Amino acid sequence: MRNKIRRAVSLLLVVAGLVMWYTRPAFVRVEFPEHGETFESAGKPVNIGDRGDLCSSLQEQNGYLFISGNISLTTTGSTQGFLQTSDGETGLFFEYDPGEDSLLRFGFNQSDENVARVKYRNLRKSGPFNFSILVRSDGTLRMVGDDTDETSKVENLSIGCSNFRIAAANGSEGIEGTMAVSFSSGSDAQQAEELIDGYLSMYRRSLPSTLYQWPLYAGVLLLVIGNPWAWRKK
Amino acid sequence: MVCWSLSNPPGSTHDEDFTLGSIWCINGEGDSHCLETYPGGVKSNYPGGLVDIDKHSCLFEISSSINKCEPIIPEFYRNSEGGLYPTWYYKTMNLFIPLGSSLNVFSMRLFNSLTAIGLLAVQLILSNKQRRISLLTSFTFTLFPMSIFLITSIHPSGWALTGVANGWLFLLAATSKPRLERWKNWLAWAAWGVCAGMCLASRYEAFLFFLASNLITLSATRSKVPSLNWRVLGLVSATGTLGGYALLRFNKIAEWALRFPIVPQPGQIKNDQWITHWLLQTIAVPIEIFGTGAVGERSPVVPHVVWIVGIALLGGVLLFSFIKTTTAQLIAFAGSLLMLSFIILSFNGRLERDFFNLSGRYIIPLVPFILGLCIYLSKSPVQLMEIRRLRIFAIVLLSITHTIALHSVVETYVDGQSYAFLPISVGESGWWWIGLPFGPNFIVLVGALCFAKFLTLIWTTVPTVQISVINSVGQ
Repeated sequence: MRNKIRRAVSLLLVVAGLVMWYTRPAFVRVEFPEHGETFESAGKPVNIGDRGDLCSSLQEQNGYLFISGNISLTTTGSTQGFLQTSDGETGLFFEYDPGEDSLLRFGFNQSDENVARVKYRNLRKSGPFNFSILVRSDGTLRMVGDDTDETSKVENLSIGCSNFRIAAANGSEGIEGTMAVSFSSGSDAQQAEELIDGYLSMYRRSLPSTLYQWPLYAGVLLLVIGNPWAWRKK
Repeated sequence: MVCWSLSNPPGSTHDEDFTLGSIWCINGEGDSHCLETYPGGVKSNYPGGLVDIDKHSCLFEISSSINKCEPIIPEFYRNSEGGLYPTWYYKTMNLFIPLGSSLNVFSMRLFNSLTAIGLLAVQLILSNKQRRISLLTSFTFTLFPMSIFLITSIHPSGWALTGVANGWLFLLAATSKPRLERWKNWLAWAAWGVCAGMCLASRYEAFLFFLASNLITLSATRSKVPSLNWRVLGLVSATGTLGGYALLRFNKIAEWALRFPIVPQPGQIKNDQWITHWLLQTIAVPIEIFGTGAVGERSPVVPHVVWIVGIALLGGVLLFSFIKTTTAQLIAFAGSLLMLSFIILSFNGRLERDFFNLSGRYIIPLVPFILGLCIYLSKSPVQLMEIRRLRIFAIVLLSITHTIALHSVVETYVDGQSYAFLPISVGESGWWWIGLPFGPNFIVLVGALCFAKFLTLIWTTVPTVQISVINSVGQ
């Protein structure tokens, strides 16, 4: 009898959890608040050209360069370059390397002729994702997008801005998917920080509820392991 | 088994891309899911096809999920059109393709897991105490992480393992004395036939393993040899000749295996060094079953505690089985190890002929057989798992290490290995099944609890003994 009650309760919990899970509102991916100039690509490289004006802010004490965007990839099987500020490795670039544990990374030219590569995050699947990077004049970086929020610092930052391109970077031409990127710069990095904080706040609010897990998980556990008290008594 | 099936995305097992490509194109270009086929040398050095495999891990679309099912874009996949492997494994798995999205891949994995579980259940129905101890010992002490990973994946080696590990025990059940009831006897022969079929359908060498394990079992367990006369000799010779011809005719690898690569090519290691090295190294290859070898394509580093405990427990089980050894047991055990060395040399000689490269999964089907037969032939008054306290101790250790192994595999595929034991976070960047209401942490938790309960329950089918220690006279 007790067993029957336990099964009935666990099934009820499982059904309740599944109903809660299935009836959650649809997830809508939030995007970065608008800023600066926006460029789009359907997969082919888009040439923007010399944008020394954007990079000049990095010469100021509290200056910044802020890049944000959305990329939707159809495959993660091959190396892809998403954006560059200058040809080769002489500027800032953003790329994907499937060989390095499916790595998304930024690259920065340094004044000592080295190139600093900074991990943004791993990308384990195709589909859309958001990214942004705030570069401050002192080399401090903040990389934000979806649930990623990382900071880092590049010493001797010296990025060229002679050839802005999207859907191309570091020798790689075109991407397998679509992308949109916004660039802005200014003399007060706090403005960009506010944009990022606004995005993060919207992103957290947009996440689907996980409340359904309580009844569902409890129901499954009750079904699988039985009544823990009764089990112990045996 | 379900939790292990969910622990990794499609294409995670070794050569699973090749296996999936072969499954999709086994019926040729006329199949609606195999869009184009190419012979070797056109798109790549190997034959292949353009197929619509969904690698997005999409079980079904749900609007509230962060990750969305993406449209399937047909891609080029290598396949076994060149006749490298038997086709029946691929033909059986091909039946699941119409289920759509990654649900077909998951269903194939579940089918393979259910087949293994079904055969285990039949074993329990048919076995007596002696066979049950050897069955359960060989099953539980060699199961994870590599065996369970293979059984619950889409790889012919999974079928080979299930077929070889069960086949010899079904043969014993079917030929045992006193005879089983009629229906049980039929069931034993039917299950033996299924095992033979699985080996034939999966890999050419698996059927050779099946034959070898059955022959060793028969010769080690049948003490009465019929008196030799011309009739018996004639019958044995005729059967051997016909069987050998059929084997060489229909099993491509049999002929291949007989051409042992004994002559080194220029620049290769000399025979004496090569053979003695692998004789010493033989034991390290089956040990890969405990996680010292590569588990899957991305090869998570299975925490050392898993294989250390696995080897320690295996050692304990073997020591108990050798308390009272029999000639048959020693000959069968030593002979099996020698056979293993021969197979390892044979594989390595044809691959790199070096000191290092021989993946454990090639010989994995023989490991449960060798352990199981050793227990079966033992005349020890008691086996390790018959002592109640040791049984509890072993089950606790196995449950803990199983949890660690499952966690490390799931974690590696979800968002990279942390080399720690922490909650797994999927987030936006990690991989997980779309349309599954359970997260990876819950899957690990349920897998851990189910495994512990499974071990506890399955071992209750074997009675325990209580050992009392008597003080020595001097004390």
